[in-house]
Amino acid sequence: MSEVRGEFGADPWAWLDEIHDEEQPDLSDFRVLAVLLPVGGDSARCRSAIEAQDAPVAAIVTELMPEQVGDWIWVVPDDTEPEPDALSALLGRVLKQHDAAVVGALLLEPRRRGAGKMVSDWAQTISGNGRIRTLTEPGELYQGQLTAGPALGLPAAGMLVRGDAWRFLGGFNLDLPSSHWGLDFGWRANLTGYRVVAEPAAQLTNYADFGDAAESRSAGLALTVANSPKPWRWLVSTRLAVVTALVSLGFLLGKDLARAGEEIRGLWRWVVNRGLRRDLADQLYSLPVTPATRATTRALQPARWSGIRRAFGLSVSRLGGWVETFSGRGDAVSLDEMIGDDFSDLGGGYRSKIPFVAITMIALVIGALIAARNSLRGGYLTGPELLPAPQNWTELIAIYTAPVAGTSGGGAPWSALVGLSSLITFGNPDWLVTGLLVLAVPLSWLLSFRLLRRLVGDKILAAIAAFAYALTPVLVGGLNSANLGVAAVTVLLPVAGYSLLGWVKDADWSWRAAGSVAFWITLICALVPLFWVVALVLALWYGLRGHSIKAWLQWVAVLAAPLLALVGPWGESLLRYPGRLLTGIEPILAPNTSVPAWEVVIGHSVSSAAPLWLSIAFFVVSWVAAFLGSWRRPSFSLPPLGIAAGAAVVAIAITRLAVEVPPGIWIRPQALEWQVLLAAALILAAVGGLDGIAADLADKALGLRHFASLVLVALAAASVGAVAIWWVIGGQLGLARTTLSQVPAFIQEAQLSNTPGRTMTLKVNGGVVRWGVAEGEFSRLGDGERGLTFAGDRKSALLAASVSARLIGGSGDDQILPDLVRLGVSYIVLVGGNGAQEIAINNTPGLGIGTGSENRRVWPVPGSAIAVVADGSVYAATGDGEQISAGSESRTLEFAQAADPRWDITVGGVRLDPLDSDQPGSVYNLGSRSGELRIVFNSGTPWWIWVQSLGLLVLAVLAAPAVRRRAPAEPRRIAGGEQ
Amino acid sequence: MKSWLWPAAVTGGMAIALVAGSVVSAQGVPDEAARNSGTRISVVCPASLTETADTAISAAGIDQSVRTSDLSTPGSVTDWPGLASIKNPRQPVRVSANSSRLFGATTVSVASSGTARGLGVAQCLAPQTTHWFTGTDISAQSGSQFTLVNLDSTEAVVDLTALTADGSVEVQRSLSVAGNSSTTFPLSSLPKSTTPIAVEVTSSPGRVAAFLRQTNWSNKTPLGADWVPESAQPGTDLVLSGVPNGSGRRTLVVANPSNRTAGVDVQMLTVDGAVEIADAQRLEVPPGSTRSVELAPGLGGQAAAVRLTSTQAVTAGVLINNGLSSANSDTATAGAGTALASDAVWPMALGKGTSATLQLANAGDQEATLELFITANNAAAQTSQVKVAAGCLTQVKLPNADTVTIRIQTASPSVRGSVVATADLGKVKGIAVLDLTSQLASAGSSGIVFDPHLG
Repeated sequence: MSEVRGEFGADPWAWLDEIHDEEQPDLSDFRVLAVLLPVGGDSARCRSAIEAQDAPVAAIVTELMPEQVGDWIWVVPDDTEPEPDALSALLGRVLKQHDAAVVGALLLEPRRRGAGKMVSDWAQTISGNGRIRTLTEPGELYQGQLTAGPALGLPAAGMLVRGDAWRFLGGFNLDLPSSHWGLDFGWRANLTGYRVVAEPAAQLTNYADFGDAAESRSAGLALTVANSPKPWRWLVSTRLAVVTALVSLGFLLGKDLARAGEEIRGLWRWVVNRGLRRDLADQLYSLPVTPATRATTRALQPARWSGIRRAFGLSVSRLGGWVETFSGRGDAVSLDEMIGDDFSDLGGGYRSKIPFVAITMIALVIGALIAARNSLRGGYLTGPELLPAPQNWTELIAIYTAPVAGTSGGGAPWSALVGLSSLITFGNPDWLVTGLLVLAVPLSWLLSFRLLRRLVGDKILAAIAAFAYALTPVLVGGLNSANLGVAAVTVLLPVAGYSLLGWVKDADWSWRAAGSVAFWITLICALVPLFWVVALVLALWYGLRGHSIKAWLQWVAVLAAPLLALVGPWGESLLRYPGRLLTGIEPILAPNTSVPAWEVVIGHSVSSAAPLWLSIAFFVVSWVAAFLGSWRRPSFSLPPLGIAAGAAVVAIAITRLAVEVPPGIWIRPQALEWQVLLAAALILAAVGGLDGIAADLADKALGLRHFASLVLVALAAASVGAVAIWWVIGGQLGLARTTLSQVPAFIQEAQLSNTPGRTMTLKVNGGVVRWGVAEGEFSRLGDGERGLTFAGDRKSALLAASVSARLIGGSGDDQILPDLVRLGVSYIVLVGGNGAQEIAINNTPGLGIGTGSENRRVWPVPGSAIAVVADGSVYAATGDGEQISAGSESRTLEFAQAADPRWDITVGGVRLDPLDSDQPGSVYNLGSRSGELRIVFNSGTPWWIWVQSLGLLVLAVLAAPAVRRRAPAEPRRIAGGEQ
Repeated sequence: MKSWLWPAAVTGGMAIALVAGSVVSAQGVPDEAARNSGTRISVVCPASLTETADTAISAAGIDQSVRTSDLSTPGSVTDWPGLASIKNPRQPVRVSANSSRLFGATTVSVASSGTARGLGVAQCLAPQTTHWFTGTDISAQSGSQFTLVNLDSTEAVVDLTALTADGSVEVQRSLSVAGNSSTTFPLSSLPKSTTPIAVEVTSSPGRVAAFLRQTNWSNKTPLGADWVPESAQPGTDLVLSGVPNGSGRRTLVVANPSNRTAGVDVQMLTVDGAVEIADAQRLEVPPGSTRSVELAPGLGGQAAAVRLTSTQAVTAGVLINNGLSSANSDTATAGAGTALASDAVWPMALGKGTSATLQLANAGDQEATLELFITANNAAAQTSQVKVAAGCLTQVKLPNADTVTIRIQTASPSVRGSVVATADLGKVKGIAVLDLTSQLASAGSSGIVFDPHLG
C-alpha cells in the first residue's frame, strides 16, 4: 500500500493519530497527608486506593486533628474509594489556581450494572431555609459535563485542604454531622478569604450510608442561623422554625410521614442543641471577615426567591405527572404489544395521546355548552330537582349543621361536602353546581377514560366506552332534571374505581390507598347511602380473594368511613326515617310517580329521560354486550355483570316503595343513581370482556362470530351516537337559570326585615296552580333535606296547603286570616292568575288591597309576621330585637316556628312560657309584659362537627395526591432532597 | 362448566326480579291531608219571601254539629249536634260547620197558594264571586227576583249581566251589598221575552251567595214559584240531571257566554241508555245569547238527564212544569250540575207527603258504583250500593219522611245527581228539582300542587 502524501508532503490524515499529550505536571513537591477517616467503611479498600494514587502521598493517618501538621491535608473517609487519579486531579487544580486553599472532589454513586457514573455529591451551597443544595442534582448521570469552579462548600470526603488554612480554621466542626462538615468548613474558608474550588476530575466512589436526615436538617438550620447577621438572628430563627413546620405539614398532607417527622425532629434538635448553636456562632465570630469576603461568600449562595422558583418547578412537574394519568398509557396490554418484538406501542403513541384527550375534551365541552344552552345566562342554576345554591360555601355548611326546630335532626351531610367542595370554585357553590351539571358529560368521560385505560388495551374502545358511560346521566334524565346527586355520582364513580383499582392491585395493601378509597366511597355514600351495600359486596369479594388479615382490616376501615356521616343528628334522622337510606339527595324534590319495573331497568323512570326507544336501544345493546363479554372473559366481566344485575334489582325494589324521609315527608325513591351504576357495570363488563376480540377473530375463518361482532359494534355505535345527538339537542335543556324568586324586591326585603314574614306564592300555569311559602333568602340547595320553609313543622306545612287551596278556590272563610298569621305569612303573591282567581283572593276577609301588574298581584296580610303579638283578633308584627310595649293580660306571642323546648324567647329579659296548643307553630304567654323581644334557639355545642371534620380531613389527606416518594436508589446523603 | 352458564344465571336472576317487580304493584305514596286548622265553612240558606209558604231549613253534619245563626246576628249562634231544622225563618240563615268534615243544608218551601205556590227546594250556598243562573223565564207571565246575601263583614259589590236571545245585556252594575246582610233585586228592568235567559252574577270586591226566585203567573194567579238553581260554570261538556218523568214542559235553555257561536250537541241519558231525540239534536247558540229547545215531545214522558257537548263553553238549564192546568200547575228548574263529589250529604225537609226520587246520571264511559246512605228523620241510615251503567240514568225512590238525608259516596268522577220531588199541595201538584252539588267541592280545594321552587 502506498503512503498518501499531500501537497506539502505531509500526511493529511495525521490528525487522526494526533494525541494531545499534555505534559504531566510534576507533583512531587506536594507534601500531602492523607487522613483515612475511620467511619465504619472498608478501610483496607480505601487505604489501597490511596496508596494507588498517581500522585505521591507522604503519609496516611487515621485521626483528624484541628492542628494537623502538613502542607496539604487530604480527607478520605473509609467509606469512599478515590479513583487513582483523584489526588493528582486535586493537585492539578492547585497548580492551575495557586490561591486555591480548599479543593473538593466529585463523589459518585457506586457503579451499578448498566449505569454510567451517577453524581452522589458535588459542590455545595445552602438555601435560605438551611437546606444543602449541590450544584448538580444527586443522581444525575455524569458525562464530563461539569467544570471546576468556586463553591460555598464541598463534600468533606475527598477534600484537599492547604495545611495553613486547615489549622487557621480549626478543621472540621465535628459537632456537626459529617454531611455538613465540608459545607461548614468551606463556608468559613470563603468568609476568611480562602479560595474554595470544586474539581470534577477528582472523583471518589461514595459508599457512605444514608445519614440521619433529621440531624442534617438540624445542622442546616444551625448553620443558616449562625451565618446570619447577629441582630437578625432571632428573626431568621423564627422564620426557619415556621418554614420548617410548614414544610413538615406539607409532607404530612403529602402523606410522607417519614419526611414530615424528619423535619420536626430536625427542628427540635436544633432548638434543644444550644451548645452547637453557640459553638457555631463563636466559631464564626472569631473569623476575620471582610465585606469583600462576605460579598464573595454571599454570591456563592442561591439567589433570593430561588426556593420559590424551585417549588413552583416541582409543582408543575407533579401536576404534569398527574395529568399524564388521564392521558398516559394504561396498565392493560394489548395482544399486539405482547407479541410485538419491540413493544412498539408502549411509548410510541405518547405524543398523540395528549392531543387526543384534549381534542375530545374540547369537543365534549362544546357539546355540553350547547346541550345546556338554557343555563348560559345570569342568575342561579335551577331545575326540576335543583334549588338555587347559596351565595357562599359557609351557608351550605350552615344548612347542614343548623338544627331543625321541632326535630332532632338537621341538614344532610352532603350539603356540607358540596360547600367544602365549592372551595374549588372560590367558595361559590353555584359555580361548582354549574360546573358539575353542565360539564357532567366531559368530566365523566375524562375520569372514566382514565380508569378504562388501565383496564382496556384498546384506546379507542376505552374512549367510546367512557363516552357511553358519560352519557348515562343524560340518558336516565338526571341532567335534564338537574339532579346534582346523579351528576356527582357519575363523576365520582370512576374516581372511586380508579382509586380502588390502585389499591387492590397493590399486593402490599397500602393503608394510604385504602384511605383514598374510603374517602371516595364516603363521598358517594353521602349522596346515595345505599351504595354502601355495593362497597360491602366489593369488600366481601376482594376480602375473600385476598386471604389477608391486612386486607380485611383495611376493608373494615373503608366500610366504616362512610359511617362517619352518621355521627350527630343525621344519624338520628336516619334512625327515625330509615327510608332516607334508599334515596338520593333532596328526595322531596323528586316526582312521586310510579313507573313500571321494566322502564326502571332501561333507565326510563322520569319524564325528562331520553325517548323510550333510545333507552331501550342503549340498555339492550349494553346488556347483550355485557353478556357476551362475560361469556368470553368471565374472570373479568362476570363481577361487573353481577353488580349490574344487583343494581337493577335494587332500582326495581326501591321504586316500588313509598318511604318517609326527614322531616316526615312521604316520597317515592328514584333510582337514577342506580341506573347510572347499572349502565357503568354493563359497560365495564362489555368492554372488559370484548377487549381484543378483533384480534382474536382476525386469524379465524369468516363466520357467524364475525357477523355477530359486526352487528353488535354497529348497534352499539348507533345507540351511543343517537344518545349523543339527543344529549346535544335536548339532554340538558332542563337546566335553567332564574332569579331567586318571582316576588317583588320589597317583599324580599320584608322577608329579611326586623319583623320578618313569609310569602305565600300561588303560580298559575296551564291550568295548574302551584303554591309555595318562602322565607328569609328563599329555599336553597340542601334545604330540601330540612323540609324547606316549615322545616320540622309538618302541621304548618299541611295548614299552608289548606290555606293556599282555600285562597285560590275562593272559599273565603273567616279562618284564612288567622291561619295566615299562624303561618307567619305577611304577603300573598299570585303569578299568572286569571281574573276569577284574583277576585277569589281579593275577597278573602281581612286581606289588604291587592296591587301589582296583570301577571303578578300582591296582597299584604296586615299585622302578620313570623312573630306576632296577638291581642284577640288584633295582630302586630314583631321580631327579634324589637321593642314590645305594654298591653293587656290576654296577649300572646304567636310564633310561626315549630314548638321546641330549645326556643328561648324573652321579653324584657323575662322568659315567656309556651302555651299548650295542637295548632301549627307555637304560642307563648306574653301578657302585659314589655321590653325587648329576644328570640334565641339554643342548639348546644355541635361536638359532632369536629369529629366529622377530623375524620374527613384524614380521609381527604389520604386521598390527595402524595408528594413524590424518594426512590430507594435515590441518593439521600444530601439533607432534604426534593420537596 | 360452560362459560355462558354464569352470565346466563346472572341475567336470568335479573329477569326474574324484573318480572317480580312488574307483578308487585308499587306502594302508593300517602297523601297527607291538608290541615284545615278548624276552619269553618259557612253556607247561607234562603228564607221564604212570603208568609203564605211553609219554609223549612234543614242542615246536617257528618260526625260533627252544625251551627246556625240569622244573617243579621252572626254572633247569636245555635249549635245543632244532630239534624238542624229551622221552620219559617224570616231572614236568610247562616249554617257553618268544620270544613274538614261533611255537612250540607237545604231549604224547602211549600205553599198551596199565594205567590210562593208550589213545592220548591234550594240548596244552601257558600258565598262565591261568580254565579250562573240559566233558565230564567222573563216572559210576560213571569217574575224573577234575586236575593243576594253577603256573609262577610265587608261590603260586596255585585254586577249582573244577562244573556238573552238578543245578546248580552248589562242588568245592574255595582250593586252594593253591605256586610252580614242581604238585598233583593228584581229582573223587571229586562225586556220581556219568550226565550228564557241566563244571568251571570259577579262580585268584586266581596262575595255573595245568590238565589233567584222565579214566579209564574197566569194573569194575576200565581201558578208556581221556585228557586232557579245555580248552574255549573260554563263548560263544553255539561250534564243536567233532574228531568222528571211525566208530561209537561221540558225546555232546554243554553246560554253561550263566549264570543263565538257554540255548536251544542244534545243527548239524553235515560234508563235505557243514551239517546238522541228528534228536532233537538243540535243547537247553534250565537255568542253572548241564549237559545232554547223543547225536549218534551222527544222524551215522551220519560225521566232523563241531558248531556250537552259544545264547541264553546256554555251553560244550561231546563224549565220544567207538571203539565197540568193552571189550578194544579207548578214549575221547577234543573240546572247543569257538577259531578258528585267523592263524599257529600244533603238533608231535605220534604215532608211526609212528598214523594222524592233520586236521579243518578252517569255521563262517563265506565259503569259507576255509588254507596248510598239514606236516612229518614233521625233513624239509622239505610245503606245500599247502586251501579249506574255508562251513559244511563238510574232512579232511586227515597222514603217518605219529614226529613230525608242523602249521603252519597263514589269514586266515579262522572256521575250527576238530582232529587225530583212531587207533592200534593191541595189542588196543586207541586214539583221541585234539587241539583246535588257539593258546596265543599266548589270551594276548589283540588287542582293545586306544592312547588318547592316557590319556597
